Amino acid sequence: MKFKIRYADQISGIFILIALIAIAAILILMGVNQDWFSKKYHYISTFNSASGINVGMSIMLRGFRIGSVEGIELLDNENHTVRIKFYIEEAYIHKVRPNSVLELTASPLGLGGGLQFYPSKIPGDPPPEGSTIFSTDSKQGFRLVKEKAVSMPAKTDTISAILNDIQPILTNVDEAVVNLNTLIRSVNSAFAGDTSGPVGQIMVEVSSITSSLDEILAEVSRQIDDIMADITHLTGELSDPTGLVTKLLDPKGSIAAILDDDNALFSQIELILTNLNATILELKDFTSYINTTTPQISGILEDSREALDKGKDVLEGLSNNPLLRGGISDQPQQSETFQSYRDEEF
Amino acid sequence: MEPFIELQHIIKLKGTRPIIKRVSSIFNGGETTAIMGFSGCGKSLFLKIAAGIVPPDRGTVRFHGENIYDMDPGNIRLFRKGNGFAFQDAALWANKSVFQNLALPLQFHFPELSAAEMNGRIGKILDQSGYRDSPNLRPDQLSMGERKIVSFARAMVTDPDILFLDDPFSSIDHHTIDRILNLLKRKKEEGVSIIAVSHSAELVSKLADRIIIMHDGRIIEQGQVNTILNTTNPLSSEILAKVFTKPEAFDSAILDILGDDDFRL
Amino acid sequence: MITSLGRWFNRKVVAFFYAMGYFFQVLKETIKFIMSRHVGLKVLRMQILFTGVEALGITAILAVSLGAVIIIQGVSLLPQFGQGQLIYTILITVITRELGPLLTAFIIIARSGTAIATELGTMTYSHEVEAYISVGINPIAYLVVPRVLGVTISLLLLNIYFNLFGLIASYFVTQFFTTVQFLEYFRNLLQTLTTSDIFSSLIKSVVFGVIISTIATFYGLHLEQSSTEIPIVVIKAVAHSVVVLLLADVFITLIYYM
Repeated sequence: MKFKIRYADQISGIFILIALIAIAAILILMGVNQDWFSKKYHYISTFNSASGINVGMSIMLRGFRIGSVEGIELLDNENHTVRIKFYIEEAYIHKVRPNSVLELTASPLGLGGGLQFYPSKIPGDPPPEGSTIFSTDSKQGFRLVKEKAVSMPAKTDTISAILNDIQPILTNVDEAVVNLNTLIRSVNSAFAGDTSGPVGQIMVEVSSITSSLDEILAEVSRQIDDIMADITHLTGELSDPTGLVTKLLDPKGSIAAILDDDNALFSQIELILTNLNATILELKDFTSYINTTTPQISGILEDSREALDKGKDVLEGLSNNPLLRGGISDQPQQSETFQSYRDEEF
Repeated sequence: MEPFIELQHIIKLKGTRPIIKRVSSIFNGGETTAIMGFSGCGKSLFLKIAAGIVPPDRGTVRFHGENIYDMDPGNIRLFRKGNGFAFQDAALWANKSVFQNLALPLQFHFPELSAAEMNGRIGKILDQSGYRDSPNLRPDQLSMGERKIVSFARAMVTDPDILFLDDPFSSIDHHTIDRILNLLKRKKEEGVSIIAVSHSAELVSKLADRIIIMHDGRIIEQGQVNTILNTTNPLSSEILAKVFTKPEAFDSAILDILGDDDFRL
Repeated sequence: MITSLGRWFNRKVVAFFYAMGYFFQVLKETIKFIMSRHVGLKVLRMQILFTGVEALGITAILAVSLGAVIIIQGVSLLPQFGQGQLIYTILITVITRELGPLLTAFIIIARSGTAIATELGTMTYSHEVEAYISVGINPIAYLVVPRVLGVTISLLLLNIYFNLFGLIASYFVTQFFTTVQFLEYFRNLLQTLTTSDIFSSLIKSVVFGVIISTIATFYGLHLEQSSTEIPIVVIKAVAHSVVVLLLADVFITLIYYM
């Protein structure tokens, strides 16, 4: 009888036994490796979209799997946001600090990717189970990332390295744009006289002078009116040979004595009025000059801001190249701080 | 003798063509029946239907009044335990030795038997049947005659009450046929019923109580041996003539049965 | 035309219900077989020997080659996209979930499906099956069930071996070409492997085993009375096994992803 047939039972037995031991060993090793027996801490997070997120997806912290997505649901709210439920394994729970952030990273070519966990830089106890870990899609999460309040690793691959180099430029551009915006706002405020800077002060003073001038002019006008009334009255008086005026105009009278000063008083008044007139004219010139130049300054500043914004888009576009990253991110258009002079009608 | 196997209106189809055509018959306990007919007339199939091996398309086969194709597993097991079937082409299990071929029915129906008892029983039946070779040989190492002997022995090994024999003597030498006939005779005396498809004059002359003559899927005649041998049906006569023209037919036994006057062939 | 179409359809419906009846009979007898020890145990052991142990060599070669190809391609290609980790997902998807069960099933169809159909066909032709019936042994319980169980168990075990060879042995082969650390490789593999991967793979093996063996035994026993039909029933058994296998694979994969 053939060896195989004679020892059929033993051979089959060994064949079965090895397979069973192997599968049992693999299951045990899997359990140990995947921490089946450790406690899991459950949290939730909110994203704008579930695309790219799957149940069972790993939560990664610097390349380590620290947890997994357990469920995804579309919330019934105005923004149609998506809530994910996930757990963090016991071994990594100390990494979960208040104000940690979760980010969905798409990888180049749209392959893989994952949910990255960025622990907060500020130490603290893990938040209670069931609480929300902010995602970068949320305002809080975005702010925490922007403020560098969370610990984010440097990207490792070549493309990421290039993108990392672009990042500071982008940040600078961002800052430049922010500064420009501030400048434009300052200039605008300055022109509006809302600030305490030199230009602002001038403007405030010019404004107050103008308003004082108005008051003075009104006063002068009122007094001139009074004078005119007096003159009328005086004329009337003059026509009365017996009146006071006649008396006064008597070459020996008092007024005659005042007025008989070789037109000194009159010249004085005339000089004042002439000076006043010149000042008003200059003020008018200055005001109109400022008015004509303001749109130009604003326009130039606005153009610079737009150019920088576009530059930032291009760089971010490169950073988020569809082949390399997730495309150009949607940005709410910032309303302009001042109308461009091109918008004005000539 | 009480009827123990009863076939009623049996029809068996091959595709849409009937090959057994509304056949009825009754087999009584302790009786030996010989089924005869030309090749391809449906004898073997009829025997298998009677033995509960091939279910008919229409009609019923009853064993002590119970339809054997509706029996519960316990009763069907008892029915099988009580009958043996020797196939025309031996139908030995090719992947088992002669010994294993005989041991399997014993193991199945008599699990309580010890190895020694089983060995004894198998050795005895092989000896009685005239098998002289090693029981460890496989069927493909045996001649057709030896295979038929082993097939016969397999049918006998469980000591059945009914024996179904499908052409048991073809390819077997005369000496062995005599041994088997003597064995069958003893079994018959013990009350075993035998239903055999056979063209053997010896079997008919020495053992048969009844004869069934089949032609083209029908039973054209059935009855006691004497009656059938005196038939006036030309077709039956032709079939019987084929059996009894052989030299061995003219032995004393058959002359005893027929009597000189009635012998007309 | 319409009459022949109707007749064809009727035949198909009858044949389908006949096959279903056969399948349930096999299922019933299998449960009975498992519940009580039978004389068919020896047939089962031999079936595991022939179907499982003897197919181990070809399974190993196939698995190691496939695993090695995936590792070599993956290790050289994927890190270029920064996706080195994907190699483990690909290995598990290809070897554990999809090709493991399917390729072992194809090996079993080629080796044992044909053998079973031929063997049972020959037994039917030589009336050995009728001989079993005549001695009271139910051929489904004695001939079919041990083969169904043997093939199913063998396929299940071979699939486990396929995974061992495809995931672990293939690693050592690739050491001539790559320099991945074994512990790192093995740990990552275990991290990526999920219970549902294993479960889906094993379920597929069981389903495929039942399909192959049931179809092979069905056609083997379905022989009429001519030896020339044997090659025909073998071809039918193989063709039907492959079609039903692929349909079942798609169905199970769909359930897995739903």
